[in-house]
Amino acid sequence: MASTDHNTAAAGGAHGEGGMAIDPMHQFEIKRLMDWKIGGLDISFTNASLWMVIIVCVVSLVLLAGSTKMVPGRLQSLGELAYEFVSNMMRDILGDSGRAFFPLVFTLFMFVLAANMLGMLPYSFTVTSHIIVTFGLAAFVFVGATVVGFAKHGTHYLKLFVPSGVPSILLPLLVVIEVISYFTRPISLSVRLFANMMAGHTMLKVFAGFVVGMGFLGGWLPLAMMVALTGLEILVAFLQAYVFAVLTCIYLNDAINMH
Amino acid sequence: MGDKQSSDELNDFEKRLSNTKKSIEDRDKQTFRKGSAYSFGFRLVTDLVVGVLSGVGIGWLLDYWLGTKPWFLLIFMPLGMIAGIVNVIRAAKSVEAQRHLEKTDATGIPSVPFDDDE
Repeated sequence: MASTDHNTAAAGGAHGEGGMAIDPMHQFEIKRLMDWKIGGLDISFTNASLWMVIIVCVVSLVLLAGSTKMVPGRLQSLGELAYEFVSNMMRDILGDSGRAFFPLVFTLFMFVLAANMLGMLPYSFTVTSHIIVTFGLAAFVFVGATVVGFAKHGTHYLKLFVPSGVPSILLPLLVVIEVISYFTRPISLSVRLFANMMAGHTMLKVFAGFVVGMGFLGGWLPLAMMVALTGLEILVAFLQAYVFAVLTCIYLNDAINMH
Repeated sequence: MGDKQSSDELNDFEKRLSNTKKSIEDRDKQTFRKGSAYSFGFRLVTDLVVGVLSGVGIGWLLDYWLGTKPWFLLIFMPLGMIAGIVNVIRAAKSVEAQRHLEKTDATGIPSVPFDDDE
C-alpha cells in the first residue's frame, strides 16, 4: 500500500511543537522512522506504516489469540461478535452468492475498524485520515469488483452502463453519465472515510486547544464538549468502518447479481 | 419444595435477564439507527460533491491534454453533477425500499416484492 506519501506540506507542523501554539493538523504529519530507498523509489518505514503493522497485529491478536471454548471468554466473544456482525450484513446485501467474498469484506472491515479505533487513542496516528490509504483500499475494492463482474458475466457486464427503456436519442448521454457515476465510486468511498476521520480528529484537537486556551475558569465547557465529541467520534469510527464494508458489499452485489 | 422454589427463582431470573437484554438491545439499535442516519446523510453529501468534482476533473484533464479549453470542462461539469444526483437518488431509493421492507415485516403484513433497482 502506498503509505509513503509526503504529507508534511499539508501537515505544516513545523511550528506546532513547543510553546502554546495549537496546530490541529500536526497529528497528521508523516514522519520517516527508517529511511529506505530502492532505486529512485522511496519506501521508507514511516509512522503510518508502523501503525498499519500495529493494526494488523491487534486484529490478529483479537481473532487468533482467543481460545475456542464452548463458553467464550472476552477476547473470543469479541471475535465472534465481529464475525457474526459482518456475516449477517453480507447475507442481507449479497445473499448466499457472496459467501466466497466473506474473507475480503471481513478483512477490510476489521482493518478499517481497527485503524479508526486505534486512532482514538491519545498520541496515536490515524491511518485512515490519509486519503492515499483510504483510496488504496477503495481502489482495490473497485478494481476487484470490476474484475469479478467481467469474470462472471464477460462483456455482458457492460450492460450495467446501459439503462433499459430509454429513448435511443438520450442513450449516449445516459451511458456517459452511468460511466462517470461508476468511476466516482472509489473516489466517494475513499473521500467519505478520509473526510470523516480527518474532520473528526481535527475538531477534537481544536476543542482540546480551547480547553487549554480558556484556562481554569473557562475551560470546563469545552472539556465537557470534548467528552461528548469523543463519544461521537467513537461512534463515527465504528460507523465508517461499517459503511465501508456495506458499500463494498453493494459494489460486489452489482458485480455478481447485475441488477 | 425447595426444588420448586429454585425453579421459580430461575424462571424469574430468566425473565428479568431477557427483559434487560431486550432493553439494552433496543437502546443499542436506536443508537445505531441514529448514527447510521448521520452516516447516510454524509454518504449522500459525498456522493453529490464527488460527482461534481470528478466531472470537473475529467473535463479539466481532457482540456489540458487536448488543448481545448474550456469546452470539455463545460461539457463534463454538468454531466458529473447529474451523475452525482443519480447516485444520490439511487442510494436514497434503496434505503427507502429497505425501510419499507422492514416496516411491513414488523407489522406482520407480508412484505411486497419490490424492484431493487440499486
